[in-house]
Amino acid sequence: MAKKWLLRLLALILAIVLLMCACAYLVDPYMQYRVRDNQYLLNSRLVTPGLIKNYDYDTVLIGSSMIQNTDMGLFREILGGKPLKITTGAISLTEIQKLTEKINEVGKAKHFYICLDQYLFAPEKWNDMDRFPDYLLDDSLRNDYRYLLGYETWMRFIPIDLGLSAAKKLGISLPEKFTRAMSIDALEDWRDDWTFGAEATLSLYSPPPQGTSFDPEATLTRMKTRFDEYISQLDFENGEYTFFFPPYSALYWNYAREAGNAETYLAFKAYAEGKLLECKNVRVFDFQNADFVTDLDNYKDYTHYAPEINDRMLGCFANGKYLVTAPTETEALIVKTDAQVTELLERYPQVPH
Amino acid sequence: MIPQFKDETRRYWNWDNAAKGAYIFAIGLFKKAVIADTLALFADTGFAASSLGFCAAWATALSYTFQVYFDFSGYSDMAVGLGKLYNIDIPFNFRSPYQSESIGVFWRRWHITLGRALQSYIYFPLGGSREGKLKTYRNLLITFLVSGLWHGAAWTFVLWGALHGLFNALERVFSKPLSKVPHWLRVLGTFFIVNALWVLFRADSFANAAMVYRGMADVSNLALTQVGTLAVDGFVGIPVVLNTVYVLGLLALLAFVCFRCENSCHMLARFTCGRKTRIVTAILFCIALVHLSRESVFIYFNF
Repeated sequence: MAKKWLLRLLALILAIVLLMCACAYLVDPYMQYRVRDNQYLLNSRLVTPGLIKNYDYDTVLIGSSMIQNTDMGLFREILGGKPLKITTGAISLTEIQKLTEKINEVGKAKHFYICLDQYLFAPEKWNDMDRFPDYLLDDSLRNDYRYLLGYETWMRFIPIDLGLSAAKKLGISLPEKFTRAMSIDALEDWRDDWTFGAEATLSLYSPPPQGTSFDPEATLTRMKTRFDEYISQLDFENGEYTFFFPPYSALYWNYAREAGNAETYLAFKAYAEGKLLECKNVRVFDFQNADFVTDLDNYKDYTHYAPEINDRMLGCFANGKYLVTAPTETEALIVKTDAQVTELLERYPQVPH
Repeated sequence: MIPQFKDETRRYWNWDNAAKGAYIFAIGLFKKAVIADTLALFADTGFAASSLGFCAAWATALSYTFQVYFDFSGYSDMAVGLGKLYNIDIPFNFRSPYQSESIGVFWRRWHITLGRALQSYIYFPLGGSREGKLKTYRNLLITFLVSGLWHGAAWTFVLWGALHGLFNALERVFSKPLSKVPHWLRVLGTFFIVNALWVLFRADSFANAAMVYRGMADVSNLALTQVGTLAVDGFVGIPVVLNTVYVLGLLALLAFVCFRCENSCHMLARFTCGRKTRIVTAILFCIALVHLSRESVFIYFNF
């Protein structure tokens, strides 16, 4: 009796596990096997690997929170193509490298728009890579059990996604925040979660803490090494690459000056520009040259700009405004940035400096 | 245990024991992976906060109280189950400890093997209760101080142990008046003392413990919705109100389980190879399997 009980238990467990795998495969909340737009609640870190594999695209827009408010409909209208936004919350350079490697492997992308956040290249180590779902990026079926029987799959996304699907079928109208979080184009779009404007930006600003150590030489060497490592994985022979430095506000450079790392980051920018302009099929845009960086009404904090700026950047990709045609010397970048900070401080004398 | 290893009849596969072992292992795995690890999120978030309102502080303390029980007893059940697979009878270490009517009884139901070891190697050699009341109280205090130190090299553990010793001694001092208190009130009182002392056990420092205690005493700041923030895990933005209902509901359910339901020892004693137990075992195992992929902390690295 006990023997029969135990063997039937094992058979029942196997049957339940297979049934769960089948259900997870059919629902597929992370789009690992098929893409379903406007149906599921999207977590960027979990769905991006599936989108890279299964979405229909020929253009990728890769970056941090700086690109998350990009209107992908406008992108199609101005720049054409079939774009896909590749971004996750608090993305790290290591994560960008992993995702870029996968994009290259899949081979669909012919046009690359890559946002270069200087600060991504500075850290020695990022803290959250142990939570990165490597098993979603690879093509191995053997580790798909981590997805099909995963905690987040079963305890979060399947119940929520089935609930959302049922609500849609029943004609229940969902809050706009939910419908936005279900759109691939609007992945990680945070425009409605924050207040933009000088008052909001200044209220969030505080000067850098005193007494923190910063090694300019070691940091610059590390940034250059990590940059070289990143661009070595890009195939400039096959594909068109547009790199851009996002328009941090002049308030950011005021902070960087006080923190003592402005010159290092600008030296890195000069280095990166120089290396990129040597490459074939590459364009470089420097939006940090833009005149609007001194107007804090365009921002929600010292780096994050309003969606209207994302729209303007798309126009610049088309018309070539802020295109860098020759490498800039670090000294020239410092002079330009200092002038922007001076203009900002005249406009907003309440900024501590 | 040793006589069992010498028993030749135990060296052959036994289907009855294997079935019982699988059953109790699945229960233990469910307790650890599903219940304890879910509560760990609440407790960790609460203890990491800079301040807590009344409701959130109590929810944090209760979360840890139930976490440590289900975690520890879950592991013990898994050990019993694995032992059964090998025909070894490992003793249960927990027998509904939160149903205890005194601290003394609590320590006869909680981590039973540790209690026995401390009794044999510390309490009895010191004289136990054979050398008068004052020496008994002294021996209790020393034994529980050692218990505190055994759990970890931190002053919070030492104070936790000392307070358990103190309450144990006070129970003996006031044993007559306490015997007149209704049973349910004694159980509730014991639970609240144990719950309060677990805060010291879990806290990183005295300041951390004080933060939680301040919240537990601050009736002017109920902050009910702060309870919902204990369950935020960063993957899905569930509304705080729903999370609050979830946390409070779960804690209420677990309180019912601890106070009113039978423990693993009773469940194993009543085990039969029927369809119902097979289905329950399979479901518990599969739910636990899903929860295993969640990040889980091995709390015994702390002590």
